[in-house]
Amino acid sequence: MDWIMLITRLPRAPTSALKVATWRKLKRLGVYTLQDSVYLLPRSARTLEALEWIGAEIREEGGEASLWDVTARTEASERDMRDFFLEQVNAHYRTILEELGKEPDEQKLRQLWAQYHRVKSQDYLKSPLAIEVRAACERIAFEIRGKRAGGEGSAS
Amino acid sequence: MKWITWTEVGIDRIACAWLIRRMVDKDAEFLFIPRGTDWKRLDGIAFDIPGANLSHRRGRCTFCTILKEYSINDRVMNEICAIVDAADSVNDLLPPPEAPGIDVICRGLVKVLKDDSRALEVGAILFEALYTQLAEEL
Repeated sequence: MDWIMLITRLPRAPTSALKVATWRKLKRLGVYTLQDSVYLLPRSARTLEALEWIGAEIREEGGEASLWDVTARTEASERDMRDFFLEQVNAHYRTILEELGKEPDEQKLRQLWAQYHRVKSQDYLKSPLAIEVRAACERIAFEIRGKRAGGEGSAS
Repeated sequence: MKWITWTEVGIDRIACAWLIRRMVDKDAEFLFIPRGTDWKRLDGIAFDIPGANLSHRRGRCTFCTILKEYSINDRVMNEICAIVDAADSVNDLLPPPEAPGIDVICRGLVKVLKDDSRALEVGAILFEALYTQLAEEL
């Protein structure tokens, strides 16, 4: 598959605002850090646009940034990359599933549902676990609705 | 006036074009150039292109820059600015609820219409509707 690589050099004395903003944006995208200042993502219109802007914002503050289309030279490194991006979201999905297994109340369920969507925005390789998380959320929502209806029934 | 931006418009460029026509230059003509083209030699005002004056500033979206640059003071526009910012991952702590939905529709527009000008036209209706509704609800 096609990958996109961002190489950055922050200005000599970067403002902490730039450092934090850059870091937050990269983290939100779930980039793979090849080494300091070198980041990789699966290539799509969305990731391309996002990385282009992160680069532009670093240059605006006097730093350097360049963006590259890259492909893996070996099947092994291709697999490593894919494994990284899958495992990154799967770890989050598993945590959510674990929480969903503890009979969350309505508020907790809403929290987990929001968390699921944040993880999903980084799920570039479409992990099958996403479907499981979604189904588990829906099952619990169904139970909560059932309890609500039952509670109302016994109160009347 | 000619306004220049990148092709394959998304939420920020669609919102900016709508804002420009509505508040800055009602006869604005938009010109789309592929990423990487040298816009400096073209006649017109570049926006939402890295390095242009009307572009992201301090990590915030171009829509925000245009509001500031043309001293547009409007609380509904500020709310729309927060929505565009959120799609661009700046406002990731308190994203307005409208943000993810509008972002995903905007990303789909150009794919369906296969034409940037038409994406801006349809997008303008979208943002006008958003403005009208937010103005009622704010």
